[in-house]
Amino acid sequence: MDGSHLVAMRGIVKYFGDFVAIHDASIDIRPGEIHALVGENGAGKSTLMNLLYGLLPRTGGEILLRGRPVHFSSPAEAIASGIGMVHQHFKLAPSFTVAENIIVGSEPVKSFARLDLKAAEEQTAALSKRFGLDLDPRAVVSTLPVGLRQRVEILKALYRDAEVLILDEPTAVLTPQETHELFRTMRVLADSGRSVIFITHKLREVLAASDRISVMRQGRIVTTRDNDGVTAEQIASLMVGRSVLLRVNKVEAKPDPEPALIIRNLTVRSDRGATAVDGLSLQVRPREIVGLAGVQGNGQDELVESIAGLRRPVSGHIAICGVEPATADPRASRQAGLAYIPADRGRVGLSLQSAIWENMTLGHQNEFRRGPLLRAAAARLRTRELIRRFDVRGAREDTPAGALSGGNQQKVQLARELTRSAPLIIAEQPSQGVDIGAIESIHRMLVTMRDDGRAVFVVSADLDEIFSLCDRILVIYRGRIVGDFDSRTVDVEEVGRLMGGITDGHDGHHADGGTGLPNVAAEMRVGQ
Amino acid sequence: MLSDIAYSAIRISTPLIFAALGGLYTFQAGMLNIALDGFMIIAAFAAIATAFATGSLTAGVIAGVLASMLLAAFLALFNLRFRAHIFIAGIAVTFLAYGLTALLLKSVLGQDGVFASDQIPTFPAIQIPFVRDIPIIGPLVSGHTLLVYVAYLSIPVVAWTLYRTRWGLRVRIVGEAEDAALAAGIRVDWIKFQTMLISGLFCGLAGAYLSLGYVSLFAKQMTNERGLIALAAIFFAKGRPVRTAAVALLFGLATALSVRLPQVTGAAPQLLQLIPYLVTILAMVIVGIRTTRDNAHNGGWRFDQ
Repeated sequence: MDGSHLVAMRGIVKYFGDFVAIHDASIDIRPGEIHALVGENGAGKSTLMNLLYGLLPRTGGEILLRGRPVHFSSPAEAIASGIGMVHQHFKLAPSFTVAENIIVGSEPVKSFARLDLKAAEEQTAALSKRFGLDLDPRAVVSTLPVGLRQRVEILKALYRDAEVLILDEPTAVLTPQETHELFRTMRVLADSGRSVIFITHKLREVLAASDRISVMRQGRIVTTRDNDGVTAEQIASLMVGRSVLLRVNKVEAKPDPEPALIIRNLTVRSDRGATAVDGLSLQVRPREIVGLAGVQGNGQDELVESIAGLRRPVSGHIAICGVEPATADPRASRQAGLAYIPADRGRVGLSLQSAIWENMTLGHQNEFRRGPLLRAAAARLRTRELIRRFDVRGAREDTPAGALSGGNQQKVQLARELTRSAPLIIAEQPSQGVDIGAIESIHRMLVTMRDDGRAVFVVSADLDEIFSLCDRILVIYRGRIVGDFDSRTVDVEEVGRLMGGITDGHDGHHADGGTGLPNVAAEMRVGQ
Repeated sequence: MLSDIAYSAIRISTPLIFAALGGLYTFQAGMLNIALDGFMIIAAFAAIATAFATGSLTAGVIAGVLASMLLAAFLALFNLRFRAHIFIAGIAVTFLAYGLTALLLKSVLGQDGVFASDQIPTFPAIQIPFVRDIPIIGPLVSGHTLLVYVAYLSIPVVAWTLYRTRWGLRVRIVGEAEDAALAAGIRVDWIKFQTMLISGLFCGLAGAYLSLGYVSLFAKQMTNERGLIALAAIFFAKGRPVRTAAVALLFGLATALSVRLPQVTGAAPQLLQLIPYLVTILAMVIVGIRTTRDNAHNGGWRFDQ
């Protein structure tokens, strides 16, 4: 066996019922490398890694760890063999301390199985010092920002002596600064002889952070190559299997003067009671797409919830099409002219157990009323037509919404909301969990809506999306708008700086170029 | 009069405290165990039948605890192995226990509804030397039966196991974040099974106390929804052992008042018997207000629950 591979996965096959999730995938991981695993949503990246981590049983193929075949039937066994995984959704107990979260499962004890918290805290501190991951072992996890929670997860794996660390979409929730720090940490780990497997679909990060790149498409590893002279376009076309347009074709915006959404001095609290939106003002006009850029957790959720009537603001004014709807009344906001496409499709946007026609009819009941009854046949007929028009794949009107892929669920939401005659559209993370093909068509729909005279407000954590889709870009930081730009004249670095709360353009941390991450993105955009 | 009420509050609270301590283990492990009544009734029956047959209190208590733990193991099996919903399985197990004890009451002891006999041994009152001579407190604390002391002394032990041991940390993490526990390699179902067995252990003591200590008889459904009241105490105190026991004691005090007040005031006893239930409802209202308050303050719409 080739000794240079720490992990070798050979001919891996995975079925979910009749569905083939992984076809004959093979990948080798060398010690001390950062190996990026890229692919579209649904390409099988996480599934493949879950097989390695023992979360799922494989249907076929073999996994060799240090040249020896292994069969993990649980994560516990994978952990014991030196494999650690940081999941996209952190698996932490929020009301417990950093140290407790790190040691649970292999706790230091005193006599009588008593927990030795002091030793736990010392070991945690020593570990965080060794890898340069600054953390207070006594801090309660729920009080930590996301970037630090991720460190807890990484330390958890290191505490268990992980030699292979799998990071599933680690940058999705991070600020550009935190992303830089994560990449630095990944490099420290790789230099210490550990292997880092980095799952992502963000091309600029792949190029910035990895040594080797494996591309997955439809359950196969299409190629593995060194990160040397590879371009973002090459990887994108390997991911999709055809060349893709990373920029939306659209004509110049000619916004109407009278705003469809006016927000003045809005202050909103988060669930925890902290001020999430802090005296914020903004306007969105018909015939323009305004993007709200910001790292998750800077007040976007609370802002949008207030507009949608899902949260009662502390003070300030919200006017939709000149009407100031009653606060905290979703019905009033909708009647004033709001179409809302929430980020949380599964809980806020759709009822996943209900049929597509029921989901599509929600909010349109009045169109199908006959006294107290619903003209179900007519509603189904309309749904059939919308499924065709919005190109919802793999769906009949009776299919439960939960059986659809993320992209098609998003289309169901869009079909329902965009067919209401609402002049203001708020789309929250419209391309989150949606594959590239569907992103293109969703973006086209939003541009069409703009050209039809509607005001479109897009909230996204994805700068590529903001830049390719929006006419005007607002940057939110700690509940305030800190930047308002024409998307044609601002560069990604400027927006990234403001998102991280840095207003001084000569800030040393970013001027050094670092891993060149924002630059790559900028080049991609210009290069199109 | 007052010391009388306090004395009986301590006595009356004992089964509540046992049941609440048992229930809070499962609560902390993230399971809503509504079968506390079922565990208690089967223990009450097994305890009195065994004590009657053998003449041994020790054998009675052990039989009660074993019967209750067996039923707990059943519930855990349904929930953890066969993945039945804990609420449904809990109701099923409780009804099973009610029905089974009524059936056995008739077939084994030949009684309908109530079984009592002067051959059932009784617990002697324990007079604690020195303590009983302390004014005011002495007569309240001294002179109870053994299981009363076991109940109150269990409180710090329960707190210790949950908050000072490795096992306790695992139980609490399982309850708060099952995913986190699984990812850390903890055998979540095994931990849950253990807490369910401990639930059975404490409910076994509660049941044995009910039929052998509190009174010397067995009656159909004699637990009188004490298990649900214990659950209310657990919810009120968010599963913290000392607070849960304190709330259980408060409920016990309410019951003591409802028993004693009619003798003193001459008011309709039926009316005064409402006191414990009113106190329970009041407690649940406070829990409700407390949990919704944060959200009401911050204006968020609640999508979960």
